[in-house]
Amino acid sequence: MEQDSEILIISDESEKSTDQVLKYLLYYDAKFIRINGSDIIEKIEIIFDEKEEIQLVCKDVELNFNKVKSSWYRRGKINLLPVGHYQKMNGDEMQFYGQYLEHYGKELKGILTFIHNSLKSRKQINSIHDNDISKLSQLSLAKSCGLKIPFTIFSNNIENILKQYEPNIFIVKAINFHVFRLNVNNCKWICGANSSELIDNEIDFQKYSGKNILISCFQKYVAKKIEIRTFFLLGKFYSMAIFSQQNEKTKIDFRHYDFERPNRTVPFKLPVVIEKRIERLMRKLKLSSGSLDIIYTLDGEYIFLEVNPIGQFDWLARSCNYPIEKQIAKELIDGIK
Amino acid sequence: MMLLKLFANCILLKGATRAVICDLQRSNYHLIPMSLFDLFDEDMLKLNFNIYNKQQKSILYEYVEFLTANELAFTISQNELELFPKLSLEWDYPSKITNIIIDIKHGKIDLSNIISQIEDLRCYYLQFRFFRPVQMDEIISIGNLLFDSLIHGFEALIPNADTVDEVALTNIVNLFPKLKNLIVYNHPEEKEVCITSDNVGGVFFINSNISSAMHCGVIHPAYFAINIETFTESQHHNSCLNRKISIDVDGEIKNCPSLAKSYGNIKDTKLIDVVNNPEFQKVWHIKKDEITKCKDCEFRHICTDCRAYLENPEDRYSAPLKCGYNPYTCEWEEWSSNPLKKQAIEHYGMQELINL
Repeated sequence: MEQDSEILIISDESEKSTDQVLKYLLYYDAKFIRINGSDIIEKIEIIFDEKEEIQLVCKDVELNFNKVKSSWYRRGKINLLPVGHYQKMNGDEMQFYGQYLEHYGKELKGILTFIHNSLKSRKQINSIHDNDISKLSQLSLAKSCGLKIPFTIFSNNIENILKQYEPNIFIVKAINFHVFRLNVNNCKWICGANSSELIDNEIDFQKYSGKNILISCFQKYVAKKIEIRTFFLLGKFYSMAIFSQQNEKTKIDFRHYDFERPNRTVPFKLPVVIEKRIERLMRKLKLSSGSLDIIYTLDGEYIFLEVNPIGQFDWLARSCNYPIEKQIAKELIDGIK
Repeated sequence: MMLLKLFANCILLKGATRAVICDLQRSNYHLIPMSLFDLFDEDMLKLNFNIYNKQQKSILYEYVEFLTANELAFTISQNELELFPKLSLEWDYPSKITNIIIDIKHGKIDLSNIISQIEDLRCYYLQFRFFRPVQMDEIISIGNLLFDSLIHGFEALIPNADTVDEVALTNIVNLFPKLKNLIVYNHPEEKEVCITSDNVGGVFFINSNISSAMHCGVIHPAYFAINIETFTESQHHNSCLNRKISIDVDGEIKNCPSLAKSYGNIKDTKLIDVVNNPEFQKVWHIKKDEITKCKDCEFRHICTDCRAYLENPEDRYSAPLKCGYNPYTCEWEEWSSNPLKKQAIEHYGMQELINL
């Protein structure tokens, strides 16, 4: 029976870190199946009989979920929609199809949840449900775990924020991940800001005044000495310091990359007491892995910004020579032993 | 006291007469005098300016300015030291073989037979070197064979000939995303014919005539690889031959086509059996720190190596024949005109190649 056990990986087709982990699985001769969001599920059957069984066929490969002893949810999702039909549709049909997808998608959620939940009892690195964790609960739990967070307001009332708080140094962010721009009756609505606008926002928060703001996240700008990116994996910490402050381009957000003179990125070791608090937070969020953004302030304090369950770690692994992909592969193989 | 610490990816390497700081992040290196190297305590400068006289101070300021302006080092306080660990110099790669070279001179190669063997080795990169004219169809059939394989990428070197068609080559590179580089050598016109859409390869025409494996092994700063991967691999392994396997023009399986020793012919020998042969793996572990001259060279862990053509062909730890650098005088000379190398050049029968 043991030879039959498999590793399941759910990811996106172009996700490079997944490729790296799979290379290690191949190297160790482990049996695995990878399902990408773009893959068509040719057949799915969930059978309730004496025992429950979930079976699916993807790319001509049959997978019985009972044999999955170890799984890694990287990103994306098992796509149960009939993909590929809409290419030949006209406008009206497309609109109908869009509505149909919206409703049918909700119906499917039950199936997806059931499939993903079935993996819970076995070795599992992350789950599709991790995507549901809101920034609000992250901040609230981080605080309760003893981590410092920036002063934050979620609000749609910008005038009040301007009136009440001084100095007006806030960074405007999306509620969770996505920035919204709505145009209703020639009236623009904004939720959050693109990272590219952060510089303006810090200096000129006033420009949002008088606009129609949807609920956004307003976070007080924290002067930083360095930015820290930490990848957490089942109790292990892989941290990197990003020296973004020497460079005007990257001062607010290191993602304004300077390719000619890239920010120095070197291994970093968080103090044990901070690691313990992060571990507690990850436990409360039920996250087995994730990428954390932390600020190391001029006063030597650690400020938690957010954790992204499906964040990139390739950059971190390459820059610091951390064997993250190998470790993920080893953890997955541990599950099928 | 001022504490100045090198960033973990800027690594000091000491040579016989000077040192170098290898900037592994920005693919750069900075030569430094021994006087600066000697000030370092591992990766740290601990500067107490009070103990120096005016002239010494001005030199120190210059050093500090050099290190900070190039962002090689940063000031740090004593209590922050433990936050910045060293870069791990471990090296690993999930393949038994990381690259394979297949040389073709006579007839065709039966690739379909070898592909599954290459896949079993988890080798993802292939290089084909043709020493005879190539029909465009031949490249297409290689591309077709590799299309659905586990192989991620391959490149081909082909000689300039009537069969070389610029448009056809461009089409072929675009048709097969796995075909990274197509290099036409011995071409009168040196040019980039096309770059692939993912920017990682293309079709290139080059002047040099790579008519045989004997052209390999040149050591030159242009071939330096200043990155974490090479630097860490070089700490533990040979920077040319580690996890490499080759099939020469006669089908002989070797560490490198330029080496004499064969471990069997592809006709009747499995690649995996050769790879698992401890004798075959021996050269993988010849490190720069063990090679004559290289071990005294400041460039040793960013440089390539060659174990096929040696200054002293009898000594496996001898320096590469085609290296013109002298780490004791810090001068680069033309290797081929060095009278001390005459004997080795004759030993390998390279006289003709040099006189070209």
